[in-house]
Amino acid sequence: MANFVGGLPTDLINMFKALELNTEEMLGEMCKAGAEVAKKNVDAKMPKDLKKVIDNNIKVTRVYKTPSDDGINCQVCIAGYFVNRHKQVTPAPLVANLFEYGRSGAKYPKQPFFRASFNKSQIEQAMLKVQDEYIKKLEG
Amino acid sequence: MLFNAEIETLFTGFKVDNILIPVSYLFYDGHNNAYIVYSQSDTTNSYSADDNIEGVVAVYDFDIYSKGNYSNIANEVKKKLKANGWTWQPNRDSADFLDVDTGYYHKTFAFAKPIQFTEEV
Repeated sequence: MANFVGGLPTDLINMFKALELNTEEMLGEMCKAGAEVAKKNVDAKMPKDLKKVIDNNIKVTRVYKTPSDDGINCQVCIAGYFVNRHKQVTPAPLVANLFEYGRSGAKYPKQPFFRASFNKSQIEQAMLKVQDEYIKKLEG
Repeated sequence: MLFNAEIETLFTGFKVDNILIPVSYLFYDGHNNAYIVYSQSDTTNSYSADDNIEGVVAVYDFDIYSKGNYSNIANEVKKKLKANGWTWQPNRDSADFLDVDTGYYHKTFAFAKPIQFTEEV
């Protein structure tokens, strides 16, 4: 019977080792890059009237790990409060919801901007770019 | 507005539990106890060939407003749309809302359907 014995080059083995050690960090950065793309889209698509009041309330959370599925996540969200023209403290997510989903009796139509900002291919592209950079760094 | 005509036809005389539910585009100017407002919220996954967009998937929101339990209305909407080639997109649905001043419960359901363009866009 013919035999074949092969060996992986040490460089490649070291690269895999380094990749294994840095996986979580890399995934976190990939996540963050994807979130930044979505945030940029939210910024661009947000109706002007809303942007005037909650521009500073769009946030990207820190990267966190969910123990239930070992998932590495971060979120793009609208958080916090702002003071409206009647000097009332108003939750920013509540107003954003109003624009996103509308409400009964409103004299203006809803203007969805948030859900449409999560463009899958754009986000994937940004994430893969980070992955490629990591691999290149390890190769070099 | 890719599917507005189809939706208008589908929901003409739309009745749930023998009660007529008005279905209108973007805005409903009436006082029915339950009504539906629909609008196109997004387009995704465009297909292109020869430097032309050949098709897209259109995402529509169906906002159900009701002063009572709206689960039967939601089920009928889902059934009707599914039977006509639409796919429910639960991750784009809204949370459950209650507009306290008007007394309407409100829930947005999102549905998607692909469309192939026959002419250059």
